[in-house]
Amino acid sequence: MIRLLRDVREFGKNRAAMMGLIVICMLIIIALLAEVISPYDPTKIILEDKLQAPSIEHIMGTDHLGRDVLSRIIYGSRLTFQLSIIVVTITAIVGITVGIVSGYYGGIVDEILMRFVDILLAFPSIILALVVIGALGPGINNTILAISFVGWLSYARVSRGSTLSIKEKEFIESARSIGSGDIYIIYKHVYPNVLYPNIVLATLHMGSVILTVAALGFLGLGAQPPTPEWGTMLNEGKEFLRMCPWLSIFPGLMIMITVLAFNFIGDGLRDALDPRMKEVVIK
Amino acid sequence: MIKININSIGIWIALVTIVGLVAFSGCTDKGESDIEKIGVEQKLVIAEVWGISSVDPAIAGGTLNNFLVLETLTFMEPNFNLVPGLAESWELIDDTTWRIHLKDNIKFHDNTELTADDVKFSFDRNMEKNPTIRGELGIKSIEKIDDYTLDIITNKPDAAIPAALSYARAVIYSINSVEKDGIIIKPIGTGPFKFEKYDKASDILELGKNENYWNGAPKLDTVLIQGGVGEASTRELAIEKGEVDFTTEPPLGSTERLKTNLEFNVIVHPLCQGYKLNFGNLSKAPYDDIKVRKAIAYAVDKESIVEHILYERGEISNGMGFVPGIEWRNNDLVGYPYDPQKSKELLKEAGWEDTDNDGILDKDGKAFKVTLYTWPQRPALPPLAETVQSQFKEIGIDAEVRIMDWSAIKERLNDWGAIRVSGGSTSMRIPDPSYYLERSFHSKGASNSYGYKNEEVDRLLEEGRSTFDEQKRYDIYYEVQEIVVDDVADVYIAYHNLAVVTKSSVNGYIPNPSAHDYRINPGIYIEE
Repeated sequence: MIRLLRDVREFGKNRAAMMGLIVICMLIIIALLAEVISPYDPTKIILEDKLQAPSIEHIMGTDHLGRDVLSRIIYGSRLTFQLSIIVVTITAIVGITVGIVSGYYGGIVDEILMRFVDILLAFPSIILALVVIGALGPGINNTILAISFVGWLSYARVSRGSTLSIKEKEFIESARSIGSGDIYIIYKHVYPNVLYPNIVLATLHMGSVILTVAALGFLGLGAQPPTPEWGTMLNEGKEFLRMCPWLSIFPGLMIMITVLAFNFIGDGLRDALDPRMKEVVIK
Repeated sequence: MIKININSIGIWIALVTIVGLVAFSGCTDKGESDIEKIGVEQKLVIAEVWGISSVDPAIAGGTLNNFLVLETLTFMEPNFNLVPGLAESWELIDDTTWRIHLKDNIKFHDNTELTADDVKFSFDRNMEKNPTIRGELGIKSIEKIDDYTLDIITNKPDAAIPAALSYARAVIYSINSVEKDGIIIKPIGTGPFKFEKYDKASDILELGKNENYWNGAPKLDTVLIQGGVGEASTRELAIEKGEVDFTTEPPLGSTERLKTNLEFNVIVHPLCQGYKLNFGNLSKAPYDDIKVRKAIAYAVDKESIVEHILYERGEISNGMGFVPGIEWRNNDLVGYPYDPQKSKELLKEAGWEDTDNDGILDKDGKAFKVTLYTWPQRPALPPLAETVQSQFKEIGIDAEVRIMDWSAIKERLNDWGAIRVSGGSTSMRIPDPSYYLERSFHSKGASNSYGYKNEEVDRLLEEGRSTFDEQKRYDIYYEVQEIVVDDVADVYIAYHNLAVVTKSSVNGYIPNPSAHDYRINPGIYIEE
């Protein structure tokens, strides 16, 4: 409890991280209240209003089918957050489990799991995601699958490393000496200690997932029209880049701001949760 | 079963982008320093939408024909008239035999003479290697009479043969083009340009001038074709950066902007192609009900699609693929003008009603949920599909848009409610009504993948093919068009107008509405 308070205080001192947190909180509120906030129906096509420059009626202008860009951005943030939270949750659970099991039991289990991770790590992740989508077809669900397929690797690596160092500690030995089972030790002692570095990782991972989702959307493999999604909007906008740059600028900005915010939070968390690392940096 | 589809669009786009970038950065630097030395270099660099991928005439005959390497026995002129090509004349000997007289002054690019042997060889090889060519030509066999005379024997009396000989894939090439085992060395043709080289990795085809062309040498010395530039915005950037001299189909919204730029010529001309909805399977619910098909035809707002999606690069259709100006077009037809009210009534008559008040029609507990499949290579298709989706919503049909590769779409057309939003299918590959009508609407037609079957139409089409009296043929085909539009075999939305963008230094391009999608002409030249 004391440690937690100290960490929070530490985090609060970091201006960039606090800014990031505020931005993300605002975006989450916007995403949750999309129906209330967005001025228009994001999928309503009014061809007569196509390609209007930003104005009072349409703050971010309209796209090639006359849809309000602002409303699409707002609904797009909802989809982006949903997707990235689902992906990060799945990958973190899978990755942490694999990592702990691998690190705790060691031996042949460790060998097999880690070699498998090595093999997957050898592929460029976006290419692997393209292959998965190529096999399953484009769409939101397949996007989640494709990104999760490669996303859990770093969690597994980090968790395994932490587990290896923790399992040598005296308190594990003491727990074992009083007859605690493996499951109990993992749950009570290993897991909480592994969690901290993974929280940092998950925050940074949010940013990269958002980028990958947008990249797949941009290639036409992510969300299918007319679903408003930032990457898909960029893709639609690029046809009109020379005439109506706002179609691409606004979704691009949103992607940038969100990813930056998550990265700031991640950095702040790392500094706060891992004092040693900070000391090293300061020295 | 997981099936890896390497043709999937994403990989395709990624590869094309990479290949395109590499290729373009390579092909521009060359030659620029030569320009000063020899005045205006007569070299044309083309960014082509589709990949070339092969130079075997049996596979890529149409491409090699469009770029004037290989020629056909008869030619279709831009005004759809049939004129002699490599053949001087043709006559009907009996019901199933056409006699072809070749011109006797034609030489191949390797200076050997064109004889009946080459023609027979080309036809036999094309039809053997590519069964679809056999199907489209309807030729049983070819007999050599003497060096400059051939007989074409058909299965049934066939009035369309002279027109079919102009088919872009019925190309003639020298026997020396292939090795003994039938593998292509290089295409040796008779056209104004000769094949120099083709680099498969970068998809660049290089052509040189044929000084001895039988109809006068072309003006260009070199033609470089960069294949597979599938993205409209990539083509636009390539021409604006000066990397290419000639390209087609820039992004739809850019036409106006490019027109106002004096550095470019923008030519928009009609093409015998169009945008339409193809029902996935006409023999299955819900599209086996003609009322449903009619309702869908009335639900599409063609006028606003032409104005806002095609940016006037299109024209409303009469329900058929023939553009105005073609002799055998049935000009009495009006198609299905936008009328959502009529749509709703028709659907109600067909039993589709919104009983659970969710805004989507249903019948026997089944909601009217359809899928619109389309592909990204034609820039108008995705926004067109999205617009149709929103227009379907107005009449209570819930549509999902899926954008994927051509081959992947094919597998899904049998799913309930599948519709293909397609563009590009051409109605005038040969100057004869039979080609498009038979392919699309005969129950055994090559493009009739959606299972349209009307015995009366089948009978008329067969009769039309074997009738030699021109006026009688036209009457038959007028009737076919009427029946097919009445049956709503497909929903023809609009004709497509092609936009060609060239640097302003490129002169002499003649628009050719009969081509697929465009054909260069020997008169093109570069001027300062």
